[in-house]
Amino acid sequence: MNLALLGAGIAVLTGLGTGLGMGYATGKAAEAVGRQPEASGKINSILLIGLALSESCAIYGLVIAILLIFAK
Amino acid sequence: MPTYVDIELFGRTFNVRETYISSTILVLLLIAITIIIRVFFISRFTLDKPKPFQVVVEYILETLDKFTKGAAGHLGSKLSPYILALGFFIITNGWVELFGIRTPLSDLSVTAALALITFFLINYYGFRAKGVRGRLASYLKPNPIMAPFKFISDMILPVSLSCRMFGNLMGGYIVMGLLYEALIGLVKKWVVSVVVAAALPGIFAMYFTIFHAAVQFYIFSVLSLTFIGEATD
Repeated sequence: MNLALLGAGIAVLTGLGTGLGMGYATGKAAEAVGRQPEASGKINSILLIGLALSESCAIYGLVIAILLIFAK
Repeated sequence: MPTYVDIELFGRTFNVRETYISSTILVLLLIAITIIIRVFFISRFTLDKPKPFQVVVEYILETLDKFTKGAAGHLGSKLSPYILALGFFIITNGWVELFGIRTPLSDLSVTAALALITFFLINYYGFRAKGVRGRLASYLKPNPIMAPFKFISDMILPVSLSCRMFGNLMGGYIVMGLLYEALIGLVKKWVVSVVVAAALPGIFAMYFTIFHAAVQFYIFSVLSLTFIGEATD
């Protein structure tokens, strides 16, 4: 058993916190749109920027896992 | 993971990656199209009674100017050519995935080059607007204890920008590759018909290829403009 593969498996656990955070942010955005439907355009763009920026935390784990598997 | 190709030029053999070759061909194609548009179409723009093509071009440039001014402040009009060039490069290299060629943006070297250009621009405009002493003094602004953390988070900027785009597009490339292989295996075992296997990747490619490239371009440009505007404020 190679220890690098085990490390690659542990590195992808960053997706856990990312999924929780992004779901919570989307819930708050839906609540804000329900409170004031006229501002739904601005809330939509703010939500997209926030989701793409916080998705990069999970992408860091993926990059480390790819580096561990394919590079000696 | 990367595949290498041997090219023989000027009597010596070079060992290059395939994504460098496809990126060079795409950039040469973009330059040829730009020269054709400049020589034949833009020299015929008039001030009164414009044709539809001129109206579309002027609308695109105006929207881009408003976007950069809203995100970067007073330096916005100088940065909009850079954002438009970056947009054409990222959109062309991202949408070539639809033709079966591996995107050059799924290679860490290409995205690292783009992130280094942005890093160079941030430091150039920052030093020109504030001077060397003013920019180093801005690290001590709210609280001198935070200076190492601000310095580290400034130096990590090209790594974060390049890894974000690389991770997103490499993930999309791997998922589309797995989908094609799975559909080939299922068609050979007579589970799925050929029509479904030909039409199904198109639906997934709408999200993984088209939407990912456009969103990554938007995020990259918004982040570069925000950091340049923050460094010159």
